Amino acid sequence: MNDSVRYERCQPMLGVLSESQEGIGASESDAPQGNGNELCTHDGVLLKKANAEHIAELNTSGSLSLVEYSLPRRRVYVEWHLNDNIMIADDSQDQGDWALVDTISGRTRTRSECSAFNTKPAELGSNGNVAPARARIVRALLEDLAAVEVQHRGQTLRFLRKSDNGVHCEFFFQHGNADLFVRFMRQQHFIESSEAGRSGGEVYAILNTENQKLKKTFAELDIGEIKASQLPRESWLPNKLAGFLGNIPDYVQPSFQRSPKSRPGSLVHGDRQNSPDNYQFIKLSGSTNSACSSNSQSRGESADKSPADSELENLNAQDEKIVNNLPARQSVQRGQPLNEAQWLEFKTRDGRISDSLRIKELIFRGGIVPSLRAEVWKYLLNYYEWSDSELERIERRSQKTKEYYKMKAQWLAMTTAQEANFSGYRDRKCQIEKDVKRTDRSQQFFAGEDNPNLMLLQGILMTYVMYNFDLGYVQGMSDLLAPILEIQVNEVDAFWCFVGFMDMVFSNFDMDQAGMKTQFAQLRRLLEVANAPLFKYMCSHESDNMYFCFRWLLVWYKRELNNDDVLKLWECLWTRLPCANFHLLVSVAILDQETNVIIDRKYEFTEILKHVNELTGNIDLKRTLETAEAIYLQLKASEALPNDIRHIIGEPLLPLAAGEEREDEENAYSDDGFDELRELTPEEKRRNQELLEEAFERSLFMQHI
Amino acid sequence: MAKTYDYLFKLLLIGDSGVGKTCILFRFSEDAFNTTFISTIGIDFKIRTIELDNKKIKLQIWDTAGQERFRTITTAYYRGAMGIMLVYDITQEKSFENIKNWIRNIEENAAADVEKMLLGNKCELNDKRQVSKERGEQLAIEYGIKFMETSAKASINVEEAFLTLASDIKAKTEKRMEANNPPKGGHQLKLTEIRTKDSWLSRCSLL
Repeated sequence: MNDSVRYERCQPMLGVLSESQEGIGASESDAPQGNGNELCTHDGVLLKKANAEHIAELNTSGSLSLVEYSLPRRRVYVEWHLNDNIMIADDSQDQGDWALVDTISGRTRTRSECSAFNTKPAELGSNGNVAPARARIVRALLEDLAAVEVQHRGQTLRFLRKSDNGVHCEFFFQHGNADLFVRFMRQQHFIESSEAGRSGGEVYAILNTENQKLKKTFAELDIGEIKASQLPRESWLPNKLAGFLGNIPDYVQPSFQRSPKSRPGSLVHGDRQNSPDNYQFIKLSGSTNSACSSNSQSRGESADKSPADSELENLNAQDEKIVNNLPARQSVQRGQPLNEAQWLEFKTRDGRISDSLRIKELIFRGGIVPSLRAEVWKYLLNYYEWSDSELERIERRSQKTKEYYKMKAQWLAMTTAQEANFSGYRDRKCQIEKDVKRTDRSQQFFAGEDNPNLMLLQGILMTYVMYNFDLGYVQGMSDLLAPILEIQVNEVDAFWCFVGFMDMVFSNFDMDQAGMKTQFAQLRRLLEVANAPLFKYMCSHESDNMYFCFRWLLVWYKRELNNDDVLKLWECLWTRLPCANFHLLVSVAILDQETNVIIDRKYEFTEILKHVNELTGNIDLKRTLETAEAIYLQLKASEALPNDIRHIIGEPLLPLAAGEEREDEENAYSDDGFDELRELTPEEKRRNQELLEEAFERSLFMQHI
Repeated sequence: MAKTYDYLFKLLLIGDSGVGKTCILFRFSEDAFNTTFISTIGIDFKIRTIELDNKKIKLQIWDTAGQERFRTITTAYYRGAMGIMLVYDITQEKSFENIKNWIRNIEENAAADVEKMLLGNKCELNDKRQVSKERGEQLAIEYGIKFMETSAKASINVEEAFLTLASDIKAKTEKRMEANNPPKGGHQLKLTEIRTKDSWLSRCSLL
């Protein structure tokens, strides 16, 4: 697919980069990890203008670099570092060490904040010391910049913000080598010269991700000549002056998101994809074809009312009827991942996303192409609002960045004495340290000794502790964060995305595990209706407590699937489509596929647990998602579906028949499928609890001799 | 169906997160050590059949997540356990201090007569040691249980620890069986006792 092509093409570009860079500062890279990679660096660059935070650094000399942080999503930042004493050793947020251009030995660079225009202080000492001078790095995400202007005969370089076209920062190249910087950026297609050059300087438009996408879209639509230079106009590129010089360096850019083919000038030849495929969308409900692949006996008998009253389900007459009425399972097909062209179509001119439901449907159906994940996940995880305009988003991001660093500073500032007197904090910190070392270490992003991404992981988890101290850190959370960080790369973005994810699953980490227990009970009910034979088997073999699904539910199948599938599954589940608690139907679907094995081999509780644990790496995600959806459609189509099941999957409740019991409980449910995970009535909780404990006892007895 | 073993013992590994429970189990069940660590989520178990005094004993050893938060789930498993390995990390004082909490947890949740044993793991890391062997021994004496320092990584005492625990359970089980059924023959248990004494408290002191 596209993405791989794109990726391949990027590599050579980088190579070129390093060759072309001049003298200064090597672009060292810990490439294998894809950490911060200095694409080029120029020394002797005075900071002339910047955000007020940097007032102390104005007119001081430093080095200006383009730094690329790779990994799932490549992004490039412009960074200016003060060249002085700095001794920033080993910063916890370091994403990639920088080998500085300057010769001061032992200096490493911290990176961290990369908010839009941020200027974040860079150096937060790793041991909790907050370096007094906070604003030593001026950093901007290329993506957030609109243009770069070269002035004063190539000695001044000015970056303009995308948001308001104001000056983000301005640099003076003492050695007059700004041209090299600019040339490099052009070569790498981070910038392109704007058409009209006037106003005494040369202006280059920074190619934004969106530009790239736009270009790609045009290419795909087969629209012929579209000049690269027009693109900026259509979006936010403000004033483009013109021309270029070779003097100014800098650009930054989200390069890799852009399609390789969208290099300026080559736009027209962009690849044409087969659009129809990309747009294919299969309606969520009502699929057509043949029977679903699942091997299970989907419409067995089961069904019913409350799990609570009758422990060992006796199917009464009414239940039988429901079960028998469960419609046949239909086949469901997955679709293609949401691609950039589609995504762009949903973006209004000012950057809002026009039809979020439809986007979610597409994502539910087929996931997201890897290059779009970083961006789209921010929406799915409620970090960005669909209705935000580009400007609002930038504002939001900037706010969130400040908020993040404020919280981060809190734990960084914790003194040894404070820590010694604060066991709650110490325990959380200690647990985080233990787990960070053993989270996804076989993933390239976290592999190797002293991988700086581990510090990032730790920093985010620690900051989450400050954000939500009551929940703090619980094992499993690092598993949830790692893939997010790998995609977002940026610490702040990863944090807020993680917050969004935690908002969906925090009840998994309840102190009393109530959230997990509730899910076991719900899963049990769903299985009872969707796969009666297996359910009955489990009841008669003391295995209906569903405890063996603990790991599945706690970290959303993270340990069961390979990393790529985890990303696909999560983005699909984050849409919260097609129904509430779809993640439970995923469990039902997996069990569905194992039904024959479990029953034929006469597994008891321990064997089922073992078997389930050993499914790791052997789950066919596509088939599982298809089955889960098919089960959902089947339940949904069942007219007599009991209200408690309706509630679990978020279907409208049936009017209560006269004399129906359990009215209170049903009404107590909230409508939001996720909320009910933690909003059971006390009575419900108690019943669930009793039920589970009993089931559990039974299973334990069985294994005893 | 013929049973392939004479006894099935259910054992449990508990202790703070990161002390090496999973590694100990992996060493015992596979005789291997994996450096790609991963925290345990939920529960799992491994099986290994050993032979003691001509009896085949199938050990079903349960591994649990160490973090306190999960105790409400893991303690449910205590109930069926016949033997419990309490594990701490000799390089982590805190994990040693927490042993008393784990003991309390056992008292609350496990059968009163469950066999217990204390293990100080990671004894190959002598230069990072925070808990002396004497303190481990002292604590074990206090609770009236056996103690060994182990190293899953260097394969020290892991086998011995499980054999010791298993033989103690076996002795207890057989004694109970005898009490229930009048003895038919002589005792076979003594051998195990002797063997046990040989092995415990042994190797790590050399490190």
